[in-house]
Amino acid sequence: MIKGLVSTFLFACIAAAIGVGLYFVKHEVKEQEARLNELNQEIQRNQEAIHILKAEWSYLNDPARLRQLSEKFLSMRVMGPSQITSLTPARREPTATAAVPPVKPPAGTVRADPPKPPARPDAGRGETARAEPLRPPVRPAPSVAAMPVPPAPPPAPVAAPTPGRTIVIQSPALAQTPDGPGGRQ
Amino acid sequence: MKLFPRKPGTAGLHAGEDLQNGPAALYLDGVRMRALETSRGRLVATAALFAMIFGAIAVRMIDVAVLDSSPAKPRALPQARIDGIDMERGDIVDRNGIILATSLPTVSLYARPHEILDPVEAADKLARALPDIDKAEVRSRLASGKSFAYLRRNLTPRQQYDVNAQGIPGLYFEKGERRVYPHGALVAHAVGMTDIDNKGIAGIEKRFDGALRGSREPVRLSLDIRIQTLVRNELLKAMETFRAQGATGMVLDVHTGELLSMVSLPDFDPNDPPAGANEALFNRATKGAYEMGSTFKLFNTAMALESGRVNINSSFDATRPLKYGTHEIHDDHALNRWLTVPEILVHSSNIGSARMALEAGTEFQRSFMGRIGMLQTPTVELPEVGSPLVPSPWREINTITIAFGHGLSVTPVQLAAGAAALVNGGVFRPVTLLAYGDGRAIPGERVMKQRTSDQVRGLMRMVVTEGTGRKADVPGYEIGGKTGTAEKAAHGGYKKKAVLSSFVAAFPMDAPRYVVVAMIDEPQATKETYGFITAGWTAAPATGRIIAQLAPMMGIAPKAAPEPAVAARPTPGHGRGDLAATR
Repeated sequence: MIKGLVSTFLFACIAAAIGVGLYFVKHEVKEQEARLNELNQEIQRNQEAIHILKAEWSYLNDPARLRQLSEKFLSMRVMGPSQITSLTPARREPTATAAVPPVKPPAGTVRADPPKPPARPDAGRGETARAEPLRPPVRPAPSVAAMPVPPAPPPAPVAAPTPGRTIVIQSPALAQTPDGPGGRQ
Repeated sequence: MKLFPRKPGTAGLHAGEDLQNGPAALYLDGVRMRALETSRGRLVATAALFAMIFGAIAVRMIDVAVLDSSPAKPRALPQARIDGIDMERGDIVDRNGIILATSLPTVSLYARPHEILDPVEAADKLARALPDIDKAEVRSRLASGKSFAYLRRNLTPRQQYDVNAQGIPGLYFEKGERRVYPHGALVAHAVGMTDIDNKGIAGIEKRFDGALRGSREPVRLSLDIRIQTLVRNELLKAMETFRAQGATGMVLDVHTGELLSMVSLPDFDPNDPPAGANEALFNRATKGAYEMGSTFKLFNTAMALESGRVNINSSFDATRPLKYGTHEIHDDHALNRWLTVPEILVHSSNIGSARMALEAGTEFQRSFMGRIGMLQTPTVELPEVGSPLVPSPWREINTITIAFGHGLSVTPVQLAAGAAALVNGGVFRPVTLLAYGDGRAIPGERVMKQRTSDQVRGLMRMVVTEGTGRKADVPGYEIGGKTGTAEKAAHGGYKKKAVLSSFVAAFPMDAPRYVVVAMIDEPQATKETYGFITAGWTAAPATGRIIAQLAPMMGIAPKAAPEPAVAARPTPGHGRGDLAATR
């Protein structure tokens, strides 16, 4: 008798507990679904905003406009062919130095010596206002390193660009970035 | 445990046992029996009924749960939607993925006039929110009593808010889309435009209308807006300088046939297109067929060399004008002597070209022109494509005039495609406006020998170094090209002062990558050109300026004339310091 009552009571408790649990789970699910709905709407809104911003970004990236702005705010100009050279001469140089023992002629002779014109492609760098100083070909290395931008010697007949200004364009995209090689001129 | 235990004290005795042996007992027994029988019968009937009902329920449950042919599907789980938004129309992007055309969500304002209580008041209120609206027209629309009327399309969010704030009953907002072209006129002719219902009516928008509808993948064009911008700027400048009627320019990748730039001036803003048949809507690059003039001498020379009957050292008599029937062919800058093949091209001799064509033969000329795509409508993916005007029948006089670019009208895009075939080693590739993705095979057809292409390249370079195209030269980039100044046909003759000056160039000439075509329609002479309107003074400098900007942009390293000197003689002692200075 008692046993039966106990088991009945037990089952009733379990049923009640499950019922309450189910109620809470269901409530929770409903809440979560509402939240998901909200989030979905927000995602949708954001995606719409992104879509619009992308269009605006494209509009603002109009090359003609960028050019105008860069002309107004940055002292950059359209890159010319004369501003590009390859690294090939620079790459050859270490071997050249290794092959030739360090010749240290007196500085005076170097100045007097008319420079062997390496006849660079871009010898006449006309558009830059300041003439690139000529670096005498046989100058001891350390002194050059000490003054990366030597004052322009007035008698320099040929404005040969120094290899220190070697610029290589890796990608066309780089040529457009404000920090790109074109910007250094 | 028994529910009805016997009463104690009467053990072994039935109730009414003492009466069992009497008639009354018998009677009583019968009454009890009957009552018992009745209740048993009722119980059985009830049990049977319940059994039947429960049986039916059980059968039905088995039927529903086990044998159901169309089980109820579980509810789809709610999911996060992170896969972008659905637009009615896909985007159009350039080769670098920059958006050229996109759809933006907007709202349109409409009314249900029959729900409007007071049209006059509603119109007044609406005019307060949208000051630029036509009040009288709105009033008449609202008073019309129809069931639907658009009041204003594409409201800004601010306007929508203002209209909403007025709280006019009977007005509704409709979500819609609007096609937007962020780059405006820059790529107008290639991208085209849509009408008010977002249906493509020009350009790529029309050609790929079906593909753009409901597609999330953007259509990727071969155009590059940077190149497009610089070509357009230079052409605009040239048009302004020479007070020309129009201009067109193209940059074509010779190895793929992709158009990197296609400009036709005057152009229009597709966000606000001009109404009706405006000249700006005309795409000169693909729709207009023109007699190209001297640029055709390139094809003529290639044709003659390809025929095998003429070699690079052949010479032709240009001592006096060539007479054919009643026609007489003159040279503009007559040298009055025998000319070799390079001289004919460099000095742009009509007589020499005509004689070369005659040497190669009419039939060969025709088939060659067909092979380089001059006789078929170009395949570029635009609805606005013009067909060439091919003479029929193709007589010998046509052979003569076509040799120097008259009598056969082609579109500029055909000119570019033909020039690309000349310089890329002799493979004709159809011009395309779509970018070749990975793995998409590039169609091509060999139309001439590699050797012919090499020779023509050399000749094109000579035209720029020694001939009429000198003003196109850019130091460092070996440009080759050919000028063409065609008098425009009018009233059965040719107008002297109305010319179409064009320049077709390729660079770098040792391994050409791009063909650039620039064409200026009716340039007027200026002081700077000393009164000349020929292509050498108008189109060639513009092309040179285009290439000077284009080449560094595309990462083409300039070549110096004495470059070997630099490479071969690295001056000693020149190394370390410079490397240090680099950093």
